[in-house]
Amino acid sequence: MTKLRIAHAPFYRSACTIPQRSLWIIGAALLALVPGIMIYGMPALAVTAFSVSTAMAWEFLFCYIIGRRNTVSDYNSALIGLLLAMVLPATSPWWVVLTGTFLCVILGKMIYGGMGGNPFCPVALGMAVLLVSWPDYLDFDMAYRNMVADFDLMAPLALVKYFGSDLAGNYAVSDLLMGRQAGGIGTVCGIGLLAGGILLMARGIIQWAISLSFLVGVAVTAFLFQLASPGDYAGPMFHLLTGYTLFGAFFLATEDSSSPVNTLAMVVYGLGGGVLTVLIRNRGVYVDGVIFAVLIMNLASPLLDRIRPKALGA
Amino acid sequence: MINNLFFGSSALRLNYTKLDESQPGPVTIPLPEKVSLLAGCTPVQAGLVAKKKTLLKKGAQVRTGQRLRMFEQDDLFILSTVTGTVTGVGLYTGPLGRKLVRVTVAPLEEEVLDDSLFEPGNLDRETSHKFISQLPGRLRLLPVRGDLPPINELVICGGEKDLSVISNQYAMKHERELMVSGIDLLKKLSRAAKVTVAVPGSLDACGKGLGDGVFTVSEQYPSASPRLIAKKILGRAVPAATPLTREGLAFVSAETAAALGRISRKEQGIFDKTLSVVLKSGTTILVKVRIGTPIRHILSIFNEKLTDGDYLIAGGPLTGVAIHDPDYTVSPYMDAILVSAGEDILGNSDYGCINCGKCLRVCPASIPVNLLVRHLTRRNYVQASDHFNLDSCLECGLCTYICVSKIPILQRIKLGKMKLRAMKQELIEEGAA
Ligand code: SF4
Ligand code: SF4
Repeated sequence: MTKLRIAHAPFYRSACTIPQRSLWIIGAALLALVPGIMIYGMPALAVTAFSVSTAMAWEFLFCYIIGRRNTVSDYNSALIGLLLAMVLPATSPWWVVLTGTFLCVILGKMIYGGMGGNPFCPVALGMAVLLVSWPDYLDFDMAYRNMVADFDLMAPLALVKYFGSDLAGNYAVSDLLMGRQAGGIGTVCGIGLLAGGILLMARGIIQWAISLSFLVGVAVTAFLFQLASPGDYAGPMFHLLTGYTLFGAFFLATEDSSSPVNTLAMVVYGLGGGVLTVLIRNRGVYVDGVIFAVLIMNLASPLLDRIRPKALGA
Repeated sequence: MINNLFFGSSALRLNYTKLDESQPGPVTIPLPEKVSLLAGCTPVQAGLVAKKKTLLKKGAQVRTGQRLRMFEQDDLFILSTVTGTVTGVGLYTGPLGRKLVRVTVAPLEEEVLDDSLFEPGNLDRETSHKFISQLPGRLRLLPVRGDLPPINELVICGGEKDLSVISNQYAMKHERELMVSGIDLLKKLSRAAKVTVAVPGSLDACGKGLGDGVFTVSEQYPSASPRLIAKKILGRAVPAATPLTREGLAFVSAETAAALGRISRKEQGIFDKTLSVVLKSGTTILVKVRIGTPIRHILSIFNEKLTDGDYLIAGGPLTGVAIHDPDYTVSPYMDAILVSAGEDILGNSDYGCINCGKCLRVCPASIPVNLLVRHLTRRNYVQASDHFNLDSCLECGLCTYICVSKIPILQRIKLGKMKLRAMKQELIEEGAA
């Protein structure tokens, strides 16, 4: 007699799985990372390779030690490693990278039971701890002081923060878009980030409601600051294309587990992230506010998700 | 059946399968050597069958449409779908482990229709419901019990339950005359004040004149679901815990209306079910087959061989039930039979919810599925029902279709509902004791 298989409905399923999803995000991130590596050269490649491999190794080790099913093959840790490399300066020492991936993968994700359990975006969490612990290594002006390039290696946000908004004029929009600025390996090339973000939004992997409202939040707040005091604060375009803004909007704020899922909640979340980013940049002690803004909004995410439509017949 | 779509938003939309006019009409499946008639039964009834204490015995002669009463103690009856000799009465374990009574009949060529078929007007409400529910057709939401309010509006559904299914569309398009008579009869039976025909837009023209009004249902699955139709018709959602029949609404599928039409016109073919057969190659064939025909018989006509590891599914791809036995027979509500090679069906993964939110974006009932599934997984059924809208679920399966983590969400939802029902039953019994 033939042995028929039994399962529960539905038998028709969409092909998208977790590994596929991770690979798509990795692919989109590469659109910005590859130009970054071309700009910063070998050190950038080394940081990226080390970050990806140690992130995967941490997850492998963790699963092995606590005797859990190994989840490295879902490429999520590879993705985390890749995203961390993108925010780091190309000159980061190996031990900063190693600590960073530990923080992101283990403290950011695994101790909550893996994907879907983490309350914070793992990369933002890991990066925040690094920023607080070793500000000097993560300060782009310090990091790139011995480097030579055919463009100005002064980090735009720091320059404007400390020397006034006149200097924002030093950076042509086209330069910022092409990655000719000092910054994280994968966060300088605006064109690449935009392309990756649009790809992911079209694929339905990240939500436009988060990314676009984040960008709107940044632009509007920057505009208002500039309106109030044009001499002190740079305009919206500058804030959108420098620092981690684009990267945060497309790759950090959209992390599944730590962001809301209902449309209105996502819009509030995105706007909040954008507003906080510029507030921290303009009024806070940190040069860039994206990482902390994302973390704060992560905290609010479960609350925001209570803004949801009424269920049928409820 | 794996959907590989590039654009995220398009993957969120599934349209019903449309009746393809260019396809040849339904293939009539010849009568098999034996038909098996199945009916759900209580443990007490199962005990009686096991002890051979049934009214119906082996060797009895039966006519098409005859009510075969099974037990002295109650009025469970099975409608015979053929004329012939009873060759056995026994128990059968159906899909999901359900206990069923099985009556096997060897059919004769010469068919005699039983006279009682033509007097459904004399039946009381409960019996007429039992009667109608054994006619071909998927959807029969009629108020059964006498204490329910009278029916204000009878909705004839020309839409389908699932993808791949075209049974009702076929009736709408090709059995109009029968439907007219059937709806007349239904009106008499249900005493409904108003008849509305709910059809997909492409069949609007076919719906005209059948009832007092036509209601257009979108092509997007699952807009033909009765609760969604009810919401549109009433202008408000019926509370999740309230049966639609309490709101004065009754739903009957177009196919059932046509079968009733055959009865009122005393035509043959009352128990012929229209269903789609989807073979492993992906070919879809519309067939007309007598209720009670073993699936194996249908597949043999199309030379479809089952091999180890295949799936045999009764019903559509999103809501059907996997069958373990090819001798399982066509039931009145089996709208489709799908055969699929094992590798064409994506299994579950053992990941938890990653909170991607795709499920709630497809959910037609606006349920926070991402939160619901977490509670169901931890077996917090009461929480799931009180705070996460478990009861609102239409069991359409879309969330599970789209889920990135490949969680068997629908299965957990059904299990949760079952557990809650059992808990409530226990409370009632405790209260009574
Ligand atoms: S099965 Fe239920 S929860 Fe899932 S999408 Fe359909 S209605 Fe929503
Ligand atoms: S689709 Fe699956 S993984 Fe995504 S939120 Fe819904 S239940 Fe979770």
